[in-house]
Amino acid sequence: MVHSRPDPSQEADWIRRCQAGETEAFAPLVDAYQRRIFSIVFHLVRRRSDVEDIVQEIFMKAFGAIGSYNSQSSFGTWLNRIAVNHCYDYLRRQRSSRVTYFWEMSEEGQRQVESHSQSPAEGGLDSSEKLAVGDLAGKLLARAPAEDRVILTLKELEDRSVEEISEILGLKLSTVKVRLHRARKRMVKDFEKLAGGTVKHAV
Amino acid sequence: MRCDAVRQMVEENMTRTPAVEAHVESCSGCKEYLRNWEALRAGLFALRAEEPPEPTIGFTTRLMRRLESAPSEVSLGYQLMDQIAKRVVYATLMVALALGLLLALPSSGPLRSSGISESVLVENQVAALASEQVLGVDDADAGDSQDAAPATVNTEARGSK
Repeated sequence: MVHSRPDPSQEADWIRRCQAGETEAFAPLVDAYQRRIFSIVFHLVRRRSDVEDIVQEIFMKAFGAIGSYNSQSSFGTWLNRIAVNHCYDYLRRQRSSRVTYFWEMSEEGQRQVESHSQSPAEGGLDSSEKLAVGDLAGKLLARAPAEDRVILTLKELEDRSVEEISEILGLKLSTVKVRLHRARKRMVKDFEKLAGGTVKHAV
Repeated sequence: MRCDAVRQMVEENMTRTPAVEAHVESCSGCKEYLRNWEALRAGLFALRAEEPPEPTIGFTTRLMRRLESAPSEVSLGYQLMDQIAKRVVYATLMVALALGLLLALPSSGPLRSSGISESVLVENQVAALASEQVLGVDDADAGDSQDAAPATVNTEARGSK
C-alpha cells in the first residue's frame, strides 16, 4: 500500500488513464490518498463506524468526476475538496434530521491523548483534565454549525494552513481568516455556556 | 487596540506585541475570552491526538469492485449533472447579457427612433398631399410621379397604423 504522495508524473499518468475510462488506474490513486481522506473524514464526522463508508462514497464521487479534473490545483487538493464538500453535506443532513450525537472517545483514543503531552496549549493539564476538555471540545464541535465545524476542523484538528483551507474551500484568504475568527468566537461563547466555571479551574 | 483585533491576533498565535499584552492586561473581557480560548484549544489538541481509523484490509479492492460494477452509472450521473449545470450557466449568462444590453442601450436615438420618425414623415407627407388636393393644386408635370406616391404612402401609412 502506498501512503506517501506519488511521483507527480506517475500520478498524472494514472489520472489521464482514469479520464480515458481505465478504471484500474484509479486503484493506485486510492492507495496513495486513502489515509489522508480517512483523516479528514474522521476529524469532520467523528463517527468511527461511518468513516469507511463515507470515504468509499468520496472516492466513488471522485472517480465519477475525474473527467472534470483539469490540474489547476493538485490532485490531493481536488480530492480534499470533494471530501470536505461530501462531509459538509453529511453534517448538514445529520443536523437537519436532528440526529444529534456526541463525541465518544474510544479507549485507544484515551490512551493516545494521555501519551500526547507535547502540545503547547496542553501545558498544565493532567490527563484527566485533557480528557475532559477534549470531550467538551468534541461536544462543542458536534453542536457547531456545519460551516464552523468544517473550517475549525481543517485548522485546529487537521492543522491545515490558511492558504490550504482557502484552496480546499475555494475561498479568499481574507474570507477564511474572517470565518475562522467568527467560528472561534461562536465556539468560545458556546464553551462558556457549556463549561460554566468548571473548566476555569481545570486550566 | 480593538478587542476583536487583539483576540484574532492571539488566536492566530501571532507574536504578542507590547500593545497587545498591555491591552490584554487591562481588558477583563479579552482576558476572559483568551483564557477560554486557550482551554478550548487544549481540548482541540486532545481531539487532534486521536488517530483516525485505518482502512480495513481490502478497502481498495472493495472500492474497485464497486466502481467496476457501476462505472457507467457513476460517470453518467456526473456527466448529466455537468451538462445540466453548464446549460443553467449558459442560460443565466444569456439572460444577463440581454438585460445588460437592454439597460446599456439608450432609450432614444437613431436605433430606436427610426421607426417613429419614418411614420411621422409618412403622416406629414399624407397631410401635405391632402392639403394640396383640398387647395386644388394640380401640377401636370409632377402628376405622373406624384400620382403613384399617395398610393404608396397610404399603404405605408395604413401599415404603420
